[in-house]
This record gives sequence, structure tokens and C-alpha cells, in this order.
Amino acid sequence: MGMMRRFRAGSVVKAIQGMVPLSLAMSSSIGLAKVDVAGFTEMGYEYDDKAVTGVSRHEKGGSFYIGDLDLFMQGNLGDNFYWLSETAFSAGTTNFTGIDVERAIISYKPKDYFNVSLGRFHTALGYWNDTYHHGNWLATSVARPYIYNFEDANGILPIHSVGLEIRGVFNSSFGYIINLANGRGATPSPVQIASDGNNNKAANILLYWNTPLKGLRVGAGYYRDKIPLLNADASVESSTGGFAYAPHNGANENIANAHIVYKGHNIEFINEYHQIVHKYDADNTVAAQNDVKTTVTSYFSQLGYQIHDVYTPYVRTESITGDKKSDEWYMADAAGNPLGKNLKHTINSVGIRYDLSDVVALKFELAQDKLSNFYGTGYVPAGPGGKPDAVQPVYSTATQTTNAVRANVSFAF
Amino acid sequence: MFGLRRGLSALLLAVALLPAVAQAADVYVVTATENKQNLDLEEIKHIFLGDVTKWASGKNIILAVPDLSSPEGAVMLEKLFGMSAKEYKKYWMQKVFKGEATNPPENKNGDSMKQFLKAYPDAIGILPSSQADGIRKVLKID
Repeated sequence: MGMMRRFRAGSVVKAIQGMVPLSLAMSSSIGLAKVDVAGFTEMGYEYDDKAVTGVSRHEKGGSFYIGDLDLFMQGNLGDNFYWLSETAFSAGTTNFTGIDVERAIISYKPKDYFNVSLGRFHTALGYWNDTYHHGNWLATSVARPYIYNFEDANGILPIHSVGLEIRGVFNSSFGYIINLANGRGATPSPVQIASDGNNNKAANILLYWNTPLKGLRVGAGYYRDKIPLLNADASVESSTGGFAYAPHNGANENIANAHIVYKGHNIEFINEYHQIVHKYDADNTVAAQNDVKTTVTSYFSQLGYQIHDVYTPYVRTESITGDKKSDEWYMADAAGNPLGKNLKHTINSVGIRYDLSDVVALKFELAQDKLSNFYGTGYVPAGPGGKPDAVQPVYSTATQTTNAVRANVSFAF
Repeated sequence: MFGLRRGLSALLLAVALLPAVAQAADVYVVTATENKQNLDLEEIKHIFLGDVTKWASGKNIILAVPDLSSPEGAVMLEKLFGMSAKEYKKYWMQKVFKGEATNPPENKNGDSMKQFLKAYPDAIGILPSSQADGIRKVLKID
């Protein structure tokens, strides 16, 4: 077993040894498992003709940028135990670099139809989140679909979860993923990695089918959580460093999703749908009535076609719409504004990916972002002098259009 | 005269390609002799794509694939996966980064493939028939 274990441990990314220069294997001389290190990163340029919160990297104009530097490590611990970690160094729009442990998992994989993992993982909310992770190089497009923005980048889905994951595939065709996790906190970010704001755990299930038509996968899932809401006066941090949560109240969150993906004959066709429903008590009283219901619906379709093994032109259309009520409790954008009632957000992109080598890709993308019925940050005049007094969300029914040009070089190492 | 020259050129090209074609046509998926499990083409495909990672006995399947540019590598890509070499590499990289590639393939060729298969009873690999003597043959791909 000893010899075999050393061999297995070193084989993880050796998979493609001789095919791509992907990994750096580090091993211990005292018999510990080898560690395979690999990663992704991207750097590029983005120009926006105006600023839209959560869309632009800047107020207006162009910026060179470095994207996530994603370090990936995994190893075989023997006896069907495996571990994996993914750490991203991310440059934010404020020009500071943040470090996030994006995934940290220990897994027990005794059968193909039963794997159990513990740690921080990407919530199985559809196809994209469980396929591309933080690897820009893996995806055809420059930008992620808006619905899959990360929690700390204006994301409205619980992209990451901390807890338990059970997954498996039967007969190489029917797959399932079950998550039991802390769920979300009172704000989309940070992810509740060490302290859950309530005792309710988020439950999620995703089922998918790799159909007999080679390359065609269909799937659907359902996520349910109870979000701890902030107290009315909890805009200040508690003495323990976290926010003080209302002990008696919260919002129910239900997310339904479905996807149809085809990858074959040089075609990549990804279609995903999400519906996010929040129910909560408008008064945040002890006798919670959950009398407010808000619904946000999103879909996107991306179609790409690979030519001569290296060129992949693609188009993508995305839509996010809200119902007649704004989700004032939870779905805040990066500026702290709620999503607007009757929100209409569409993004259309067209681009091309050119594979410069087996592990280096050059991408170019044009995108148009249209946002209607949204909250922006505005100054509310106070007192006779009318001087700015407080920053408050200001609702606008106007349509704000932003055009963006993006280009990047992404690679795996 | 021109037609004759063209015909001759085509004949010479065909003769030049003949060994590679013949070699490529005689490709076996082989396992070490300890493994008695019978596998059909579809099962082998899923094994080499990493979808199936365990033998019926519960032991891990150890994968070994030939050089993608070799004749047997070309047969594997075309007949088993219908993928280009680039797609196959990307497929495995994606699997690795998803955390699903618990037993990704070793890259072996010729004698080293044979030695590898003999050394690891739970290994499965692809060899030309001319080099597959002494190892249990599961399926001929042609």
C-alpha cells in the first residue's frame, strides 16, 4: 500500500503530464502524500463608456487589470480520501488585493455513485458554478454570466457554501449533488465560513442527466435557506466583530434552477435559468408573518463554435428581472442598494477566444449592459441649506446603457 | 502523363501511410492479468474519461494513456472519444480543477506502458497488438 499510495498521490495532475506543462509536484520524504500545485490567472484590459455598479471596473474609461491569481492544490491521502484547496488572490476595484480560500475540501470517495466531502465548495446551483469555478481560462468568455458574479462582486447567488456535500453519478449518466451548508448571512458577503448567523442550514439538491445524445446534459435543482436578517439597529458591528442578528426573524430563500448544455461537434451551447424567491416579514417583528415576497428571475444563453481547433467566436445574452417589489432586505448591490422593483437588466455580449497554446488563451469581448428600474446611490438634501446630508438609495426608472470592451489573456499553469 | 504521375504519387503516399494505418487499426485496450472484469466499448470509454473510477472489486482504476500523437493515441481519441487532442487535454484539466479527477491517466508509451501495466494489477492502458503479449487484452479497437 505504501508504494501504491506514493504513486497515486503524485498522479493527480500528472494526468496530463507530457500533454501540458501543468503542475508542480511537491512531495515529502517522510511518507506524506505528494501535493500537486497548479493554477489559473488572467490579465487584461477593460473599457466602459460609463459606470454601472457591479458592471464596471471603474467609474468610466479604461483600465488594465490583473484578475484572480488562483492557486489550486490537491492530493490523494490514500484509502479513498482526497483533499483539494483553491486559494484566490483577487485585485478588487479599490486596487487592494484580497485573499480568499475559495475551496477547501476533504473528500471520501468509496464509490462513483457516492462521494462525501466536507469544507468550502462551490454550491451546486447549476452548470457554470460547478464547472468553471475560478478558472477564467476554462470558460470561453471573458466575463462570467452576471448571475454568477461572486458574493463579493455584486453577486446575488450563494456561489460558495461551507458544509457538507454528497455527490455521485450512476452509470455515468445520472448525477446528483446534495449540499447541506451554513447558507447565507445577513449580507451576501462575506460567506459564512466559520460562524452561521442562525441554526437553519441551507439545503440544496442538483440532479442532472448526461443524455444518450453525446454532449447533451440537462439538469435542475432547488436550494432552500433561511437567511438571518439584520436588526434594524444592527448597522454597527457587535462586540464580537460580527453583525448582531435579529434573533427571532429571517427571510426564507428558495432558488430554483435548470440548465440545458450541449458540448459537441465543436459547439458549446449553455443555457441556464434561476428563480430566486425571498419571503420575509416587512416589520421584522417577533410575530413574523412573512408578508413580503420578492422574485428575481434570471436566464442566460451562450453559444460558441470552435473553428480550426483554436478560434471560438461566441455570443451570450443574459436577463435578470425583478417583480413589483424591490428586495430591500437582502439583495443589495455592491453599493448597498436594493434591487429595484420591476428590475430589468439585460446584457448582450459577443466575443472570440483564440487559443494561443494548449494552456494560453487570448479573448476579446464586446458587451452592452442595459439596466432599468434600479436603485442608484444619491444624496438626499437636508435642512434649509439643502446640503448633502445622507447617502440613500434613489430609485430610477430610466434605462442606463453601458458599453464595454474587454480583452484578456488567461492561462493555466 | 500528368494523370499517371498523379496516380503514382497517390500510390506512393498510400504505401507510405500503410504501416501507420495498419498499426493504428490493431490497437488493444489491455489490463493487467489480475483483473477479470469484462468491459464493452461504452464502459471503456467512460473509464478513460474518468467517469468510472472503480473496478467492480472497489479498487481504484489506474489509467494509462499513450502519447496522443502516436498511432494508438490517435485511435483512442477518434474511436473512443471523438475528440481532438486539444479537447482531450482540456477535458482532463477541467476534471482536475473540478476535483473530480481522482485517478487521472498516466502518460505512457510502448515498453513503459507495458511495464506500467505489469507493475500495477489494477491498471488499464492502450497498446498496439504487437506489444500486448503477456497482458490480458480486453477489447480491440478498430
